[in-house]
Amino acid sequence: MTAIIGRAVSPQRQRTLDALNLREPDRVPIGLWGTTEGYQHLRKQLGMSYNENKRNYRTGSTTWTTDVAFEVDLAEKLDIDFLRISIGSPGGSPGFRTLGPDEIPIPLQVPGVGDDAEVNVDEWGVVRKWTPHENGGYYEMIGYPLFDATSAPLEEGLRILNEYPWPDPWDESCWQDSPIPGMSLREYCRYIREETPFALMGQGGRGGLFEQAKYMVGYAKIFSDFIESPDFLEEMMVKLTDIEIEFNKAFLEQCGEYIDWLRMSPEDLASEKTTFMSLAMFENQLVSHYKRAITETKKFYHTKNPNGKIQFHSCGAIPEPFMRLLMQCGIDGYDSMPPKVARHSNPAAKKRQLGKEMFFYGGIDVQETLPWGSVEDVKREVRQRIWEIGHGGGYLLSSSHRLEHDVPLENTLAMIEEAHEYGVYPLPSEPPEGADTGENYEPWDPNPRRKKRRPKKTVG
Amino acid sequence: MPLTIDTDREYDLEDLQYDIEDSRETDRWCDAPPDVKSLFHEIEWNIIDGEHTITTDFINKALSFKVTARTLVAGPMAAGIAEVGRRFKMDEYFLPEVMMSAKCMHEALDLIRPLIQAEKCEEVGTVIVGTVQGDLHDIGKKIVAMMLEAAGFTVHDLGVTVPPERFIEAIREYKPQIVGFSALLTTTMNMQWETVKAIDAEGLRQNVKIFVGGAPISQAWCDKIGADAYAMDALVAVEKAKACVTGLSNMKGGDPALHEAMLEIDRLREEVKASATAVG
Repeated sequence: MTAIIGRAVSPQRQRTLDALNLREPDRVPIGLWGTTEGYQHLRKQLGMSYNENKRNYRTGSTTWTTDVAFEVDLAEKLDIDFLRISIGSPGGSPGFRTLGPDEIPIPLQVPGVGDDAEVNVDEWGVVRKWTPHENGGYYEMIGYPLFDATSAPLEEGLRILNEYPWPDPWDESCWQDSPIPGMSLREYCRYIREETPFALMGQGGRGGLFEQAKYMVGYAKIFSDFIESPDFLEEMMVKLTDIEIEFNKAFLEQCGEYIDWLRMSPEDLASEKTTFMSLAMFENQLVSHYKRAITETKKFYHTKNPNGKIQFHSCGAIPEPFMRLLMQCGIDGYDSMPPKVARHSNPAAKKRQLGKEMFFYGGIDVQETLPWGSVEDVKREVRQRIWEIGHGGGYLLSSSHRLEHDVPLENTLAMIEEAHEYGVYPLPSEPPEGADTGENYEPWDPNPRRKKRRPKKTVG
Repeated sequence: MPLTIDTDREYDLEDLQYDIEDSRETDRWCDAPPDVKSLFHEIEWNIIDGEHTITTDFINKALSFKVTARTLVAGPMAAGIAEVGRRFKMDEYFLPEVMMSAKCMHEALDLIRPLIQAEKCEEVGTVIVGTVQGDLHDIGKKIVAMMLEAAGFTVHDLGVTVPPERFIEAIREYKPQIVGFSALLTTTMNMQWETVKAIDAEGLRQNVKIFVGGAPISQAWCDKIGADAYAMDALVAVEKAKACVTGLSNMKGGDPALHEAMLEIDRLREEVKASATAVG
């Protein structure tokens, strides 16, 4: 902390800190988030040097994603306000080991792995197959290491759980590298804080709670486990929570004083349609673990940075009561605010319901507008979102998920340009074209069965 | 005594969605003798509640009453899973509940399968069914396969995420009159089209009649991809399949007249339903 005394806070950091603290900044702060392919594409289009081999990029903290940290030269060129940094992977990127055909350690639950498929195992023991698509690719899960443990008798299941070779949160190789060659994670974070004007968000987790539970037992099993194997699920959540806390502590130990806010390991609690589980199940079976993970992390973070904020990620359509519970667990902000997924995602309503208590990050649609919309579509959406969420501060503008290879450069530039222009405070009181006031939002009903149904067909 | 259910009425999903609400109290299985009726309620409600061991107990009990297996599938089981679908759509049920109900259905269907084969009447024809590549949904296709079996078809179920080559291989191997594609996702329904194209490219299109089904599938989609028939539920599938191998057996796959004849079955069904509603 002493390092910054007497140092003027840059406008970029100042407006980011204002937004995080729910004060109106001079202008809405902007950040970028992307896949390696999206990042390569962006640099190429901008005429900047880039590395052709995606494996040469230091990828993010969840070892299987292709998240990449955007570099300082690009942030300067595009005039954005904050950067993201994740803890590295054990042994450095890419954080998994490619397996030969005879090396696959567990029975695979997804059949039909071709002979030429590239199969990997990550630090959790989850087996994935590189699955290319037209814009790059992703690591599809094909083997879940605790698939059998969850259907075993409880005692046997718990034994497997306890003897399982979990990742080591304090593996020092995870903080030896950074996006700048030759700099450790700590040196990089100090450099961003002291030598650049940018604010910095950090992520220390490499798994998550419910998210990692899904990967350990598989998507089909995890849902029936809520009902069939609640005791196993509970024990597994305790274990994953312990690990998440240690992940965050190890990361914060390295750079807690240099990051402006922390993002928990991303958790997907909802699909495009609605949440994965009912509010009652969430409250009874998951919330206590989130509360412990977030409280413990925050307590440790505040020893390094007393004003540090915690951001929580979920994709999909998260209704307000779920977010309120998470807020009670200690989160200060939420990303990624996908605007178009379902009726529950309504950003304007979220702001009305929760905006006095939490900040929002994201919000510019990456499913349609950014990849397929025109420059004017992008600008219109930026104006709408800033007006809907920006009043009173608390909005950090970014794409609603990673920018991918299919987002045209002019749309990314239009997003930034319009935010620079329209996002200046005080914001207009009159809504821009197409903006939503959030007033007509029908609140999520946790007990819809009480609603009156369509009357039966009348005879006649 | 085997029980006959007025399936036209009972399997109408639209009606079930709303009538089922009070089915614990009302007399939904009114044709059945009282003890069978209460068993039907138990089967239906245990599927809705996701109690798989209890469901299979009651299925066994129902079979000991000599209720036919196909009646159980088209009756209380179909009603139960339809209600689960409705609840999922309405945010009353979420994935954990749905997974448990799906487990009930799978276990019950496994139990019933050999009986359906035993009940099978006179051989009518051969059908192959499968869920298209990339799609793992199983229950709807299993129900259709069993109802077809009960109606006298020899059914080869190729399983889930079936690539086009596998369908082609199976057409050559089993020489079926009908091939059915299931798809439950908007992201996988396109694979039905790809599979039709692949069968066409192999020169096999004229040999088979192609049926399509699944939640996102419609008659319009069937027309678009050049399939012969769309079936909105298992009973329609059986009716259309029977028509294909009896009255329409001389028509080639892809024949517009065959397609028209399939639509006629839907129209007749609509008329019957409308007159039933009017009479009340």
